[in-house]
Amino acid sequence: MNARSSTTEKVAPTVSIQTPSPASDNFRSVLRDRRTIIGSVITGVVLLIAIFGPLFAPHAVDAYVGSPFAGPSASTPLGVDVLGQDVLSRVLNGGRTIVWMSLVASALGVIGGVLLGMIAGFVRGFVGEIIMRGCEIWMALPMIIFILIIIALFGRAPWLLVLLVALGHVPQVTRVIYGAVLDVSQREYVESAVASGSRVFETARTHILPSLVPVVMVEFGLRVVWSVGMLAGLALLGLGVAPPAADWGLMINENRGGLSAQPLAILIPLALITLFAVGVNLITEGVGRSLGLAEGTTK
Amino acid sequence: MTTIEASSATMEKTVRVSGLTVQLRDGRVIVDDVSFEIAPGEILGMVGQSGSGKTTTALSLFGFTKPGAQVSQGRVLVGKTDVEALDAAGKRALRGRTVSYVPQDPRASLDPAMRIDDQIEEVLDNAEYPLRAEERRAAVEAALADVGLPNDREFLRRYPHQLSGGQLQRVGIAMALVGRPPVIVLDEPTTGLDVATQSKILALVRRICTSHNIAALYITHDLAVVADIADRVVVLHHGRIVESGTVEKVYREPQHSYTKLLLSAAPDLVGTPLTDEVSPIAVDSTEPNARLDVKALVAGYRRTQVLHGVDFTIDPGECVAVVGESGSGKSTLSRAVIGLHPRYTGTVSWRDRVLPKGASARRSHSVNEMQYIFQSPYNALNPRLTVGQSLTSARKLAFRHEPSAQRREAIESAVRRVELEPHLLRLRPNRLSGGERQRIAIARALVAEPRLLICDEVTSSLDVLIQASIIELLHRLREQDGLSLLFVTHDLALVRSFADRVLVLNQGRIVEQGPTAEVLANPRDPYTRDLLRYTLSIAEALDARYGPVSEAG
Amino acid sequence: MALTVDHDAFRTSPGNGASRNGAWLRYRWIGGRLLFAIVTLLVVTFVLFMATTVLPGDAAALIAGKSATPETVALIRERLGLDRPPLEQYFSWLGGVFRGDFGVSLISGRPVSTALVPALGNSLILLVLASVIGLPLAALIGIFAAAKPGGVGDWLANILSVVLSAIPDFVIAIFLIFLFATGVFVVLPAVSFVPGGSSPLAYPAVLVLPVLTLVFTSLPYLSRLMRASVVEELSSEYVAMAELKGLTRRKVLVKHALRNALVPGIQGAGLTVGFLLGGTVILEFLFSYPGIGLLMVQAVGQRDVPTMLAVAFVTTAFFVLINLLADIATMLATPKLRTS
Repeated sequence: MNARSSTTEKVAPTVSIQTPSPASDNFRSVLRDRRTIIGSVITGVVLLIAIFGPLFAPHAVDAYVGSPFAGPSASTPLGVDVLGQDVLSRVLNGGRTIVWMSLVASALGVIGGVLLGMIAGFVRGFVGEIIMRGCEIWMALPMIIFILIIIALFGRAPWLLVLLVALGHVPQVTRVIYGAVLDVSQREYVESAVASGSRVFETARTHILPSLVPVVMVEFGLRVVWSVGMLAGLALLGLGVAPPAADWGLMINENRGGLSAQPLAILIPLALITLFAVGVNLITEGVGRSLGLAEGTTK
Repeated sequence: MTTIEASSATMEKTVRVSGLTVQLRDGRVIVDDVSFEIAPGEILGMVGQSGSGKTTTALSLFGFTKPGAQVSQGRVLVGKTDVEALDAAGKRALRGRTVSYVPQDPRASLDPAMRIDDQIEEVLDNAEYPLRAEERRAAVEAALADVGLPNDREFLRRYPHQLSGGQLQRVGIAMALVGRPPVIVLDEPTTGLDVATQSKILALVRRICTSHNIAALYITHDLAVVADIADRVVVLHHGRIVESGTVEKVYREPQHSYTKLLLSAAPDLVGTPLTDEVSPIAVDSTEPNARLDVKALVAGYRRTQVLHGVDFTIDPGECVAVVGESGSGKSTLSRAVIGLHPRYTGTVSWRDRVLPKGASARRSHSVNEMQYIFQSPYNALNPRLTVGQSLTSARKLAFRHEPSAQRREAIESAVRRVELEPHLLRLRPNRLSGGERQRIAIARALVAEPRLLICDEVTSSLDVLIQASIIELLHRLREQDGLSLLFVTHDLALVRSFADRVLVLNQGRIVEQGPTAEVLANPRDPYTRDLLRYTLSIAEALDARYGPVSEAG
Repeated sequence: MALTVDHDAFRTSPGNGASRNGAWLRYRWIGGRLLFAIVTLLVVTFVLFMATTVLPGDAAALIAGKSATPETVALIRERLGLDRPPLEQYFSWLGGVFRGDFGVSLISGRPVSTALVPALGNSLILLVLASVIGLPLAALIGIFAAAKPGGVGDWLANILSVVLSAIPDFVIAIFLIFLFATGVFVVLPAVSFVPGGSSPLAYPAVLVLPVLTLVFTSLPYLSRLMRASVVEELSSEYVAMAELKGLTRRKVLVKHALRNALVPGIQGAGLTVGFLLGGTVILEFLFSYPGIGLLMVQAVGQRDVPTMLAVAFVTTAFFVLINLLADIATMLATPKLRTS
């Protein structure tokens, strides 16, 4: 049950369902966790910038406002980028793409993984074996290599990027869900229901799915973190979102040459990407810990 | 052993614990003013249920407290050493050399990645007592010989997983002996062993304590073990000693009500049975065919066959006990009957109809009429649902279309029948005690209005008092409703009190079956005879050691 | 446990009596893992290869560009062998791979291997250095955190891992570049300029920042894993037993807890090295470091299909190999697996 996940192909600790302690009977304890609170504030700020930023942008994203790599001035508080465009306006406009793409990619990946993991966990036998072996094979290819090849062949339409990143999530989520389903379905209360004539769907609904909810929540969080890293990384390679659109990852790519002359053009988008990922990870960690899912909870 | 007892007053005691009090950080007292002494060559039995503080007390001899606990009062003298006054290095020097420990579960207490000779020899890694390599080797080999294990190189170089349970416990004892300590603490060392191995280990402990003049503290929840092995006994309850004295005195003339309760609750092969004499329960005439019929049942897992053709029937209202040790196939048997182990050949019939193999293929009627109760009440209830939700979903499985008022009524009545208050329905399982959980698990079976309950070791994880109350509850349910019972257990003594018939299962075969009293009185199969011989009995042990009860006492 | 066997103590357990049989099972197990590794490699390359040939986006059309005439496209198709059935193409490609022939680069016109081999060597330098530094460091952090759970060190290690595990590797790289190469201190090269034909080992300065970045990205996962593993072992009954035997805390930690905690650490280390490999793509691009990651990015930009397939093959093979080694090491480190 070694579940792999997190940022750039990183691996997450084993997620196992433990009998919740009295304090974690309900989800209220999640909201009291310090990590969740700090993470929510950070994520909230980044989301606000990404969603409402465009309303406050002083210039058009592709307007020429000054000489390339010019420092901050009254009309360009964060300076000017490599193409003479206003950094602040591009920062305020550049968050939407990564936010929606990472959220959608994670959601699709989690949905796919949950479906496959549940099929493997409930049907087991040959079908389950094929699914799980397939995931193992799928994970042997570094995901970035796969994505790059497909981009090279089919271009970089945003929906394709989203789909590819989602595909990268599927095997990891599948493994986690499969492990969780197996774990829960061997519990005696599940067997008791089965012995009392409970049908598969009934058992799943009353006993197994509710225990999966926290696992899925944590998985989704980890997937968002991973998606952000992957999507921003692709943009940084110049292979993600296409110019002239404003995008935080793309801004890093465009302004790479000016790191010493105009560091703000890189550091600001870099900071926002990082804050988004760290914020979501803190929430995830908080949720996982307070629902008793994190590793090493032995005191 | 009476000689030791007579002279103990004059001999110097090896262990003196006086006024020991252990508190948790939040102020809760877990050991309260406990005092006892142990003389050389003497075995002191310490009896208590889980949470009574017996392990905490024992660990105080090592200057060891669990995290969050501390000794707040009292003195622990081992030999002439005041344990509490020692610094960390002094405590380390004490451990293994002056006082050593025999763990409850040797499989968990031995390092899986270290060869057994290294683990035994490690005890001698004590800066205070430098030994030459050949002296250490000799000590290890002598210790293994002492516990009756081979000490050739091939054996010494084994890893724990290559040994049987009995061998592992002997290694545990050898590890305790190798430093030649004057004091040994044994923490339930025979729990989980089969009765024959238990009896051998007990004899070994007895022999070693006598021959090496070791003072032993033997902690257990099992009164029969203490009756067999200890010279004196202290009874611990909620961290306090409620009674102490010689085994004969405490067992034959218990003074404290708690001790009396424990003794009356302990199942025994002889003496007054737990419940009233088994009265054949009248078969409900309206249910003449509610009969379970198992024929030629063969079952197993991938490579190993566990059951080799098992036949038996359970008549309406009858209680049939299946007795077997771990690995006998008794769990597979009960799981096959209920439909949780569909990989079998042979037939399971209910009301003269052959049932499909898997529970999901069985018709809801037969499924309702047969209900299964699991061994551990801790995993048997969904931790996410309240007790009421669990019972509701079980009732819905049995009676799908039912007005909710009627459903609620049925659930509350089931809760009352297991002698619990309906307000528990609002709680989640983690708020309930082990005994309460097991009652709820029984109530969950009852809401389906079954005719047959299959109980798989339902009391083995419970303390003896709770065990007795659950047995009484099951007995009452039989009397009131004429329920049939398939009662699976490893404990022959438990069966005696309430099963009509007993089946003895050995390595997947029924080696003997018949009316309980008959099988216990005149066992025909050698396996049953061994089982009976090695099953400890308080009454027999006391008679053997102190003679039958006389008027003089 | 049978009652009828009287000499329980002298019974030989199956594990030892059947040691020859055990050796056979061991080889069979390794053989099974090896077979699965090969299957993995075949499936992955097959799927990628088919994607490049069967799916509508024809490589030849892409290479030729939008303005190309149909004749040019046909010519490219022929040159690439794209006119043959896809399955045949795959097997001829696979046959070439076994001879070390990955085809001819569409851009340079030279065999892919002439660019691939030195690039692979350069990437391995990064990986080996990062692993040699990062893996033990991560293990140490985890162990120190576990030695005093809830202590200051544990708290710091936890914060570090929660934050660090969320930070994309390129963020660390850019931050390090800003700190040491362009912005704050200017002491290290921002770009790994290595003249063609020479090894980066001759220019140690260019290695510092890429290796440092990889080390940082490898820390959080493995240190958390080790912490959890050590904490679990420390709470085990045999550790309590070792303390009751009078062993020093140090001996308990080193001889018992760490020894057993290392086993999950091996698997974790294998996975860590595996994902470091994926991380080299973006890092090599950022540092212009001449490894397979950079080769890949360039190949993608130029739609050089043979080079891309070669990189995919090599990285997958590396990942599979590392995991195979980790499996074998795990078996060797676990007496129960080794002897039964």
